Amino acid sequence: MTLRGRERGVAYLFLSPWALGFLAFTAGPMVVSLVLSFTDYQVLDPGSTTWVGTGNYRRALDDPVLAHSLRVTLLYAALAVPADLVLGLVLALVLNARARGMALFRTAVFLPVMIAGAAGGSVAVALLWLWIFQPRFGLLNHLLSLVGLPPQLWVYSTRLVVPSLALMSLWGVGRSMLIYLAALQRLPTDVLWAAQLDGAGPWRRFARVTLPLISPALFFNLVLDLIYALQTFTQAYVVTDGGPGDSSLFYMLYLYRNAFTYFDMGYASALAWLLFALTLALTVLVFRSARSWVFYEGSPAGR
Amino acid sequence: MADVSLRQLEKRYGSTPAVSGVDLDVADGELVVLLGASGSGKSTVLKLIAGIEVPDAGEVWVDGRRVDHLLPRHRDVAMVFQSYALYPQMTVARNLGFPLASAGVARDEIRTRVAEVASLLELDGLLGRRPAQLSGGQQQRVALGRAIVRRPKLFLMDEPLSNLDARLRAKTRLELRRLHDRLGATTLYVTHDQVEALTMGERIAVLHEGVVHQVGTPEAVYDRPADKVVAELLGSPAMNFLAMSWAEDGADLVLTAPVIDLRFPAAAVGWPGGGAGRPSGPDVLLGIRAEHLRLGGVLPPGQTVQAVVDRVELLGSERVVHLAVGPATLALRVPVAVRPQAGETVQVGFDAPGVRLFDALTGQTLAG
Amino acid sequence: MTAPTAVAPRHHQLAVARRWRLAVVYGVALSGSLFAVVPVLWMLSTALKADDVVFSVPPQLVPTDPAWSNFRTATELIPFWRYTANSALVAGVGAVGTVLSAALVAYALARLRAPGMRVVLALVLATIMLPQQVLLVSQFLIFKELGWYGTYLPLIVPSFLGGGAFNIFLLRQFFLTLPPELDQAALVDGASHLRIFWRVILPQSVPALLAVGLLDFTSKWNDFLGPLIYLNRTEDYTLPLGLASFQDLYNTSWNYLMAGTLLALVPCVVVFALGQRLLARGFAGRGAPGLTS
Repeated sequence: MTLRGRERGVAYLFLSPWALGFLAFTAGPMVVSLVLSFTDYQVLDPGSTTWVGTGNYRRALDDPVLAHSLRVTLLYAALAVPADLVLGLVLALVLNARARGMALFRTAVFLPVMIAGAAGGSVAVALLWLWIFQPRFGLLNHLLSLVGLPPQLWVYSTRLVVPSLALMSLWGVGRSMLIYLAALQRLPTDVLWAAQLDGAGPWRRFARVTLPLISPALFFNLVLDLIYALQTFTQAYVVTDGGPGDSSLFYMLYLYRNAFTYFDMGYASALAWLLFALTLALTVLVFRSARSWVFYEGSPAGR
Repeated sequence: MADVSLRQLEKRYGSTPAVSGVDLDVADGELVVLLGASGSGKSTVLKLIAGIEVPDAGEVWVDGRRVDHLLPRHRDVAMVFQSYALYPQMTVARNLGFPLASAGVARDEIRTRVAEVASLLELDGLLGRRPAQLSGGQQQRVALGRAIVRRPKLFLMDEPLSNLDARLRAKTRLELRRLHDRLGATTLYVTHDQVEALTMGERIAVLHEGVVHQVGTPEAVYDRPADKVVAELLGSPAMNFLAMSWAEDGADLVLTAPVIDLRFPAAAVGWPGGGAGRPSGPDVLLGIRAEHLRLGGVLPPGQTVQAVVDRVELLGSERVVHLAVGPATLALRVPVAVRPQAGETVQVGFDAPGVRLFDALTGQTLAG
Repeated sequence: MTAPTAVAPRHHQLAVARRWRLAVVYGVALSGSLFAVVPVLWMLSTALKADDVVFSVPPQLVPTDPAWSNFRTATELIPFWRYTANSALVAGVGAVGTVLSAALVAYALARLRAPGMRVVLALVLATIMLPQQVLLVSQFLIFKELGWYGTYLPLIVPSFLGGGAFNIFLLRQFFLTLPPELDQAALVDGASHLRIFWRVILPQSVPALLAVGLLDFTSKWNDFLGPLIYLNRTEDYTLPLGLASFQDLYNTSWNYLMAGTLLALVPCVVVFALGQRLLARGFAGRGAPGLTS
């Protein structure tokens, strides 16, 4: 066998676990899921499944509960994503300073991420914050009372539940901060000094030099945060279970209920594909816009 | 344009002094070169003038105004960095215009001034490109342009040519000098390359370990170095040094070392006859440049040594011959036609006017 | 000309600006750190409270009589150690599978040439962007058909078959930074690709492998949805599931719940700290590849 042929054989061999996994657990399920979404699959009696064509999708478009859950999820994303992006950047800028103790502060801010895992969907964290949000005995209202502010119902209030969950997600700001920090540390200091000499004040330096140069990090965080926000599940399930009423019924939670509580797998699959389409559309939008504001070193295309 | 005055500048990093007691005056429109090896403090001096560093002591005056307590952007000083420090995400046009935009200049005026500078530096066709798409030489011109467009009181240049290849460096040197003559800009130019220093500077300030050793015209610094440090820094090949014991014999100066005996008329080598400027001990350093050594031919008695050729380097138009004299080494130049062979024993003659004597302990030139 | 005097340091504009900046820096840093750390302290404080103290109004910030026994009680109210063992099994085995499998695939993508590799790479990248929900229901049905419902298999086996697209991508990028000369030297010495992978690439990639392994471990340790839908017997539950059930059983016993939660978090922190140290050593030891043995 030739050297090239041998290399090919080895390559396919090494790829075989992935290929198997991809077919069995990714491509396969995708196809199954798509097919399912066109049926009314009966879990308890698969034989009586019928084809409903676009019935599930049409039902979805008319489903007021779905529309509501979408609103809840989008509201959450609109709150949590910008907050995380901005707070992460502020913390990264601050903690990048060469001062004593910064390493300690960085570790402190990163602690919640160590505990929760990068996606922030930890049950432990959810339970902790459920306790912090407790109106009578929790930490948050106690702190408010110390500064003379009135107590809030937090996750027990239809108005405040989504913002409260957004606040909870902010606790994991260390993840985006880390990405920003990596980018900030690669900034050429000469360029910033040149900007100073050129007469640019601190704000102008930040807006015209620093920010463009770390835009890839910003982009990365934006895309990830958006995707995670749309997929929020654990926090909703553990902390509020959609309550009070349905005011925190996130999309994923509604999907889960359809699949594993009402056993309406066909409909749940359709919902999943709709969410995928939405995520894809938003991601494409972000990617498109990136061309005008994200700066990659070495990309020839210009503004 | 303005004059610049540095007075007793001091800067320490921790306990290590980077710059000590630096005094320097630069006249309006003058180009002064700060020459020194790495670690000599020359870049620190620039940073102190620019405001990137804060001095521990001393003053910086620009155009009759004291500036050392001001932020860099209030000093009206422009700097060309060794790394060029161009804004990578901006086009050349925006890079050039950035300082003007920061100052709030009207957009029309920015456009005209940028165009002006671009044509001055032959950057016209490149205005729409980004720094990553430019060659090293082009980037350097943009960095220059960004400084020029501001019409500042003072230009600071931090080894602007060191990132260019040798051929480009020689060409750019000329262009820089031409530019300076044309703009009449007060410039402080930092380099470790003595060729740049000799060709560019109207005056050279030699810096070593944070201290200014000599300030003078290129001729003065080359021909009449104040001490060994300055003598060593200039000239290629470097000045030859021989450690010798001295003795006076009538009107002559006798210098001896293992396998070397030299005798010069004391006056011819600038030997201090009177009390001042005499060496502190029994030893002196004899310094002599390659161009003042002769290979073979008719040589005055008492001013030759016997040496063995170690190796010969061909430089195209001439050869540099490295010789061993006992434990010491000498380097001299010969025309290409002369072909000394390694291992050959030759006679080397010392031109008396070219001899420089230094105190063996302090390194100071012996006055005379 | 007057004798030179230094302007008093406090007047240097740069020094003044630096001082202001430092004040802001410490202010923000402190606030951020407090926001991050105080909840954890509150968790600890609650965990140490006796039953009657937990619901005192206003709540005590530092319990006057710390009940350290709460930790033991928490582990007795639910089969805590069993759940921990289950989590350790799933996360540990899963992480090992992920690292090996992803490394194998990443190596192929980074170093080997064969027709169709580019397609594979594109598919890997596309998989990263694929949200889990689309696969959730159908994966469940497939596993059910395979008879894997109620076992740990759905949680572990996928790790061995590809190990996660993100990890593959990460490791591939890392492998690309390794100099190919070492591979080539080994090839000339007659080593097979498998041997090169095992003896050359892997030892040099310890920091990256460790990072991937740690991240995967913590993510599997904290995985909630997976165990939720695939495990039906309470004795099989992993910790996150166990803690959530805690909530149902003892809706009001916050002290035990917090104690249990704290205990559940310890392994993550330990693993992270261990990882940090190993990572540091891994970086230090790099650059000394051993081709022989």
